[in-house]
Amino acid sequence: MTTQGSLGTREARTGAPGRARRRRRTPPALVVPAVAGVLFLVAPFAALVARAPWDRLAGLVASGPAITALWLSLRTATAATVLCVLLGVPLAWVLARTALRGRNLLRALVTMPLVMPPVVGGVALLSLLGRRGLLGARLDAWFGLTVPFTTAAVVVAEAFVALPFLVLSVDGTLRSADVRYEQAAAVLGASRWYVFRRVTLPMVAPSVAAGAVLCFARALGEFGATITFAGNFPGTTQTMPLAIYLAMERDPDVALALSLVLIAVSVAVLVGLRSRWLSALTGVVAP
Amino acid sequence: MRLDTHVVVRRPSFTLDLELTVEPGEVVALVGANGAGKTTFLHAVAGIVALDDGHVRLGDRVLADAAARVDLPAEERRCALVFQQHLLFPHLTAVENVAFGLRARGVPGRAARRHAVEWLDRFGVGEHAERPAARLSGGQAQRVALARSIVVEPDVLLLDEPFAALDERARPRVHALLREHVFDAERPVVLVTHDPADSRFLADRTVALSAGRSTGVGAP
Amino acid sequence: MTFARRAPLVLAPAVAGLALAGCAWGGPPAASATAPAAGPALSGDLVVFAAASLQRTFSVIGDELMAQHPGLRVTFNFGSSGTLTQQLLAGAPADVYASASTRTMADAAAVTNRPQVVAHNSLVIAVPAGNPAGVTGLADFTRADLELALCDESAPCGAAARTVFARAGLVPAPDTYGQDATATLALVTRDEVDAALVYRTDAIAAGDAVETVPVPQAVDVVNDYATATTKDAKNPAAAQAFVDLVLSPAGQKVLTDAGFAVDASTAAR
Repeated sequence: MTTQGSLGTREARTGAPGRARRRRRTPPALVVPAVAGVLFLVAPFAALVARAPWDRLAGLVASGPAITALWLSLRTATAATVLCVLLGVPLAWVLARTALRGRNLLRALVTMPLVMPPVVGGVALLSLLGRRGLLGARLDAWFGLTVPFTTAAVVVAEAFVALPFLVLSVDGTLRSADVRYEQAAAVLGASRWYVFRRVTLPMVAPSVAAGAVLCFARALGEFGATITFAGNFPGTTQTMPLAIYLAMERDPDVALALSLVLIAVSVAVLVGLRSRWLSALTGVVAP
Repeated sequence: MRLDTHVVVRRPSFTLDLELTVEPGEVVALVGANGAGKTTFLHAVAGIVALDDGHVRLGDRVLADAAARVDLPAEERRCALVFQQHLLFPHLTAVENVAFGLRARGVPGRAARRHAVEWLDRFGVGEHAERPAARLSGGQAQRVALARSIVVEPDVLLLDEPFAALDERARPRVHALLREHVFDAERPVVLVTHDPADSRFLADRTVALSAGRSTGVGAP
Repeated sequence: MTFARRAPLVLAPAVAGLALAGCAWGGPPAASATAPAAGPALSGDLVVFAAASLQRTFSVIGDELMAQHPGLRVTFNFGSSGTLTQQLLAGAPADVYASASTRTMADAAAVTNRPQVVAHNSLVIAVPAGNPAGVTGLADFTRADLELALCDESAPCGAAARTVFARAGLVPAPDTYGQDATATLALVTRDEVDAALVYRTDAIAAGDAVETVPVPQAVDVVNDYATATTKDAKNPAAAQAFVDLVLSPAGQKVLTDAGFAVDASTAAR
């Protein structure tokens, strides 16, 4: 009698006549931490937006150094992303599709830039390509070529820290993808290269796109490796993060304004490709 | 041409050891319980699975020979394999799927398309040519898959439960299509099926497989 | 920036610096001018924010204060003065602030008590050992074929560099701006650049790794290092004791031994 009564009441409450609609109530034990998590991430940005010098914003942002830094950041992040795709997709394919011995070690090595502090990446790049570096010393002696303090160095630093995002994204998708499509293509007479171009690549394209977006966002925000390896010079190596860092020492209002710009650009990039990003990360191949 | 095989593949739970010869134009039905090794056999002939022992000869070509260390890659074997799950490329349309094999072999786009459309029409799915493969019904997809394998004029046809996705009414139609357009006097066919009706209607001979071994050969 | 109980020192300059400092306090009693441990023993924690170029000297002074007051623990935060000022304004807890310019100290006026000038620094050209590029003077900083570094203008050494070049009527062509004096010098010691304009004290501290080329045009351009206790100091007694020690004859000697210039009036006190 009681059960029936409560069922009936619930029905009446949810207004679904005849059908007992089951409403999913989130356990409070989950709601509280979830809300805390959201606040933890969102509140600082909200505070930044609130404290930004809105009246001076246009002037600060339109200033020469700010535009220079932003333009440089966008160019280098794009170049770094392209480099990551060119190197990362074949690398992911080797990791996922071949039976190379020591694949797991290779996978761990590729993940390293993710877990180590970017400044360590900068130090490592200097050890290789600095003027006294393993390779850099020879480049300097034979060709008079120095890599640090050039825009190319910025691209290298950004690509170094961002590559794992692309490789892991594509590697994961390839591993969970159905190899039978590739087998079917081979039986139909397609060479391995044709299969890669016409079957594998199109099927992992969403995950390549997702990885590229993460790559771009990571490259855009890169600081430690850049300032250590590439240096700091307006227009050549002073990316947005560097400009913001230095602005904090001089004029915090400028730093706030530039931060807003960088956040806006990053959010635009992430939101613009959000649906593909999510679906690729959950491993669903878009039809 | 003649398909002459002795396929030995060692699997964790059993060893597939089957000698099967199919004469030109003959249709052999391979029957047996799930997991008996029927699909493995087809995959070995097609070149997707490596032989542990034995050989696969098609006409006067040696596709695989374990003793002589010959193992032609699948793309060079000129076999056709129609999978149980049809495996149409989801990012392509029906006609692009059918044209795939031709284009992979270098046939120019337009000619490949024309052939593809011809076969789609023959199989009764011509009106769905431009539909993305992922949006075809089970029966339509299976017919497109058949067309995709036939259009490249393979030397041998390997069918893995090709009628599984078809409903009862569509089956006789596809049976008829196969007999009319696909089966000919030269091409050996191995047809894996559960359904005795399929073997009765299509096959010249039935081979039963159980735990990797042949348990009987007979007329369907 | 480094939070350090004892600043991580490059070995050779550290030995040199400590030896020099040892002379200040380890000499015969008559010559020793150690500031006596005035008043009751200090204890607790003392946090000192100091410009990067004060790392070696202030670490020595901090060690001496801890030796005089065993219950006291001195920790340092070394970094670019500009950054330190912003940190203090944002509420970072510190008892003493020592900046490399009166401007950065003035920016922190809201949180500091009256500052005093404790030392002066001037700029020199630092080149890697051996001077491989053959740099002879300020004019070389206009050469595009050399790899050159300057301090970023947000740091006092950068502001000073800009003044030096302006006075000399030269337009420099650097390839990179170091975020503080220490970082800029590090570029020279690592041989990543052919020359940099750095503090005289940092160049000296780098020892054999670096050679210096004097800059006559920089003689008039000095940075005034100011030190002040903070208004919200948690350990005001220790803060004052630290400042007093810096200004004491012994403290001043540590600074002059490292290459800083001090006011005669302070040193004679």
